[in-house]
Amino acid sequence: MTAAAEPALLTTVDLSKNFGGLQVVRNVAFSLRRGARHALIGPNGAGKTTVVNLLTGALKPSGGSIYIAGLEATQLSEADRVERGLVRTFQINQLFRGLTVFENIALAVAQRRGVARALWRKSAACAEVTDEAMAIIGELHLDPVAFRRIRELPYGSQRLVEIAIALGLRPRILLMDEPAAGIPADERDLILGVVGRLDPDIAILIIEHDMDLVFRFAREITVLVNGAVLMQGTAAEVAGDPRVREVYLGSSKHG
Amino acid sequence: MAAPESTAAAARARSVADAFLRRRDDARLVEAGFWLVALAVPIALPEHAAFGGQVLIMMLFALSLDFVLGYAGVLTLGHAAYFGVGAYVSGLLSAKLGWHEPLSGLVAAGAVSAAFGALSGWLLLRYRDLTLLMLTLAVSTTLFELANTWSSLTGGYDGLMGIQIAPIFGVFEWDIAGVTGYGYVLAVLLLCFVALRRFTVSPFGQALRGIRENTLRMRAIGAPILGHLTLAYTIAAAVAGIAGGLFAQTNNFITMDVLSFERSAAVLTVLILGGTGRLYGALFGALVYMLAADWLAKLSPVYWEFGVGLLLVVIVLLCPDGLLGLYDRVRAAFGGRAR
Amino acid sequence: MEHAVQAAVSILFDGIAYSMVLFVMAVGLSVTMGLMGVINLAHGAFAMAGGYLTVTFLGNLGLPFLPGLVLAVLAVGAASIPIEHTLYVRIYNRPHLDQVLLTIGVTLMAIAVATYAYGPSPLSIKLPAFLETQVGVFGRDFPAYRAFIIGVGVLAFLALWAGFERTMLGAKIRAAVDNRAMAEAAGVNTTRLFTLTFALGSALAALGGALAVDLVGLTPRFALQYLVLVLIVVSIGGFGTIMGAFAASLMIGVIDNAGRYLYPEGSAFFIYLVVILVLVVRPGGLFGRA
Repeated sequence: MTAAAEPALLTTVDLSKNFGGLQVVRNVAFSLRRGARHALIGPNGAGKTTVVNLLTGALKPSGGSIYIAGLEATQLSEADRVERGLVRTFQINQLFRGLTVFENIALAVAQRRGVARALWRKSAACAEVTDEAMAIIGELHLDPVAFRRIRELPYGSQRLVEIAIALGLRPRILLMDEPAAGIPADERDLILGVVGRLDPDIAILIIEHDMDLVFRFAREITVLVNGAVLMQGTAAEVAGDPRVREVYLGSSKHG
Repeated sequence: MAAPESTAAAARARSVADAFLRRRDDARLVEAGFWLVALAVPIALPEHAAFGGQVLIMMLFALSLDFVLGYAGVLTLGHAAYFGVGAYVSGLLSAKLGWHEPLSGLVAAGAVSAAFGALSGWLLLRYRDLTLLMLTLAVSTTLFELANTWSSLTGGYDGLMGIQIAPIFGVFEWDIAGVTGYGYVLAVLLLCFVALRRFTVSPFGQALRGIRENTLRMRAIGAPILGHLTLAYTIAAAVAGIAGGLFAQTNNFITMDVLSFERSAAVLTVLILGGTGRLYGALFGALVYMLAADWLAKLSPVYWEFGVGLLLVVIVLLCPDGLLGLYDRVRAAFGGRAR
Repeated sequence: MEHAVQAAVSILFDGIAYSMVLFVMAVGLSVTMGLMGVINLAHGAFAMAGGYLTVTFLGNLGLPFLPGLVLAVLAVGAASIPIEHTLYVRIYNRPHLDQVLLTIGVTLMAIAVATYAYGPSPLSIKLPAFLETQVGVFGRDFPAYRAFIIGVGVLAFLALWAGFERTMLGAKIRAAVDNRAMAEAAGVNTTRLFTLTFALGSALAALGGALAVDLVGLTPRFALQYLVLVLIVVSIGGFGTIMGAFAASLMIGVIDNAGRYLYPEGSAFFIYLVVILVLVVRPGGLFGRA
């Protein structure tokens, strides 16, 4: 099957969410193919993180459908979606702070490999988990801190571990919520480098505010305003669109 | 396929990781010291063998709670429910059904507690924080009231008498001094400890730690939280039930206080005293608690209650990671490697 | 038939009086737990202190009923302030296990002190003559003391309700319960708010304890016995809500009381089943935010 004939890895149709009377996400539709490099941008409060939560199953949609690799996934649990290859990283680190970097990643690997219920095996005897975790640590150059606890690490390294855990799950679709959030300027390139070196087959959706990062990374961009898609297109199309400029620069024009 | 340097690098990475895991998980030589001392007690202090047996039973009970609380982070105010179920199963088998064989009585106690733990765990562990706390308290208090309602069966407040235990394996007679009882309890304790120890160093044990550290993250990596917690809770209930069974068998008499809130609070006290999440904390905490409680109770019941209360306040304020945590900090201060 | 109705009304009246005592004891805990997020298992000890102080003021010091009651309540409220400053502030941000154990420790110490000072036997107070009579309500006669308790409870509910909804202080408390960080950003001094609310809650607990002496009896075990009931009321009602505490108290009080009359051997059983049922269906409590 050629890349064009494959079903998209992730598709949403008419995705909506309202909390009480407040419509936070309306009729959002987009598709991610294998190898996608897609950015989701929009002003604060536009509903971007809510969209990610709907995609991962952390939130139930009020309307619409989600398909993973062409199969209906709207009612699927979070755990089942992870098993189908849909993985996310958090905007604010969600790590196991009292555990070491190695243990953080090993937890994800063990879960994916179905080893987590092995009551009678020693962790030390699960070489396949150990090897994979160490390999990821090597890829992200986390070796010097592999056996330090998360809470002892600088924020930039913690952010890398956030990505490393996702890699331990061998994602087919990766949703990254502001991967460079909170990183000091001199360390941003490190994160961007890691994102850039990710497996080209993974479909990646990034929520970002940093336009520089967005234009360097994204081949396709969806602009979300007030929970609805304003426009979608290539980086050039989005950059040139007057509506987008209005949304981002409009207030300064009236200033 | 892989270049020679990268295979060498992978091998180096593996050995570093293995060293870490060995340091983290392997049993240390010093542990043998504890078990040797425990073995020596009935020989060196035979007049205290009966009391020693009760200390060992509290250790087992505390171990069971540490598995869910220290490792999985489940705070329960009703763990006595499973201790009590085990005690009554063992007790009733002997007193009402005339089945006096101790080992099978213990297995029955553990099995029934486990079943009850699985059911209640599966229902309750969907909830967290105060809701879970209240539900666990409600379950154990309901059982307490049931035992009261069915007092014709359980003996109610007067207690269940007439629990007799046949010789173990038909060979080891129970003696007044309690030495046989001590040996029996120690053997069961050791077996359960080895099993629990193995579970904690397994990938399952790590998953439990993950749930305790960051449940949200565990959900996001696809872990079946309710399933893991229910399994841990069932194991803990089984071990608590075995401890209860031992209690009934060694005391030949039980009252409803095996199901009481006071007993749940006592085992929580033991854990915070010794330190949670490290198994030996349960063992040392139980030892210190039972010794202190015995000494204080001899002074006067009022002193005991005040003493335990004060102990709790002091520990929470000054060393919330318990005696073993304190020991760690002292060792680290003197240049040792922190755990 | 008339006899059965009489009995039912009498049991109901009793149950409502009992509910009012529960409400007054529980409402303080509901608000402080909703406000500070602290699991305070020593709340029963404050109620017990109110009871024992009332016994002392009325019995040993010979004070008249109402002044003695008020004094006991104020004394406990005042004493709770240094306790909050020295102990509770240290556990606000600690894990629940620490909070549970510290407050159980305080409770055990309080029980020991009560046993030492007052002995383990149940104590009672001498009610003034006007409360030992019967009172006519809707053509029926009811015990005046129970009517008094119901009056106090309803008054307390109305006063708290109005205070919560109408005053600046109430607004601050509601804001801080909803979102502490935002309230602080808006200039609310949450530290002082906590202390004030804690003192109020403890004083109310003491009032409940004092009223309970002649209703259910007072022994040192009161602190734990009624702690469980109060926790049940708070869990079922939801935290940080006065309406919730009131509704839950009525439910629990009436059921528990009726149970004790109709099925004395296993009455408490029903309460725990109710707890399990309510919490499984609405984990945040009837009026709590789910």
